[in-house]
Amino acid sequence: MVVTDRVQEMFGDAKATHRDALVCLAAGDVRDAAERAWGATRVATDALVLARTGWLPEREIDTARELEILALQDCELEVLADRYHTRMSQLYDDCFVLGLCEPVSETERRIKRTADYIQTAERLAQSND
Amino acid sequence: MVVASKVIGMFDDARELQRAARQCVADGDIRNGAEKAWLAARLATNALILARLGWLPEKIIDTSRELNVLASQDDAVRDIVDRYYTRLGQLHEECISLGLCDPVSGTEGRIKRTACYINDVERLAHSAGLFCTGQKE
Repeated sequence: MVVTDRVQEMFGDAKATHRDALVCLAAGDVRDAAERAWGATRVATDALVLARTGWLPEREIDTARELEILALQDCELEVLADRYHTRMSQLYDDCFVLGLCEPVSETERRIKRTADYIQTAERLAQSND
Repeated sequence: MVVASKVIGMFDDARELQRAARQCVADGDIRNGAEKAWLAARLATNALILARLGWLPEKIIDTSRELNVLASQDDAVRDIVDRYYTRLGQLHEECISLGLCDPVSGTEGRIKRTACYINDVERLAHSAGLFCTGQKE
């Protein structure tokens, strides 16, 4: 029950962070929006890992590894792992850290579609019952 | 015509690297296998960019950006973008650079499926019309 509450709380945080990303995007700050969308992606992924394994990753590398382990069990999780890596590399490493957000239309699209990523992660977390 | 033959040669090189990657996996050298599979994926992606845009990226960041440019123009390219980034992140940055290749079965699977990635990328390059020269089946 404690884990379930924590998982729900984390998905709530991920959605709130994603809403912040959309506000940044509307204000024309694509770089800040990319950082928030990546943050939302990571929290949602950590929540999924917690729901499936009972363990909360601390470092990014742990999140990625645990997602890879989960992906071995389920094709849908494998697709989610691909989308996770795209967000880590393109939104965080390239756009936020290096300021390389071109083409902006694709970065904006990825930021917006992070809502779908969160929903998918949440559905997969719930299917662990 | 020069670009077409260059693109064909790059896909051949990518397949050769992929075969070498499979051999490394068979020999138990997962890290070397990951490096070769990543290089094969990058080479194939660069070949697609050359076929579609007429120029060859030099740095990884250029490959990534141009792939996103192509995705913005063609929904079919979007199908490979996430698979490219997984190979960049998991094979290149984690397994090769950091030596973090766990879970090994997942990394091995991604190395093996890079053959499918190369085929799918080549199909997208075909749709640029550059291969309609009788040089390749």
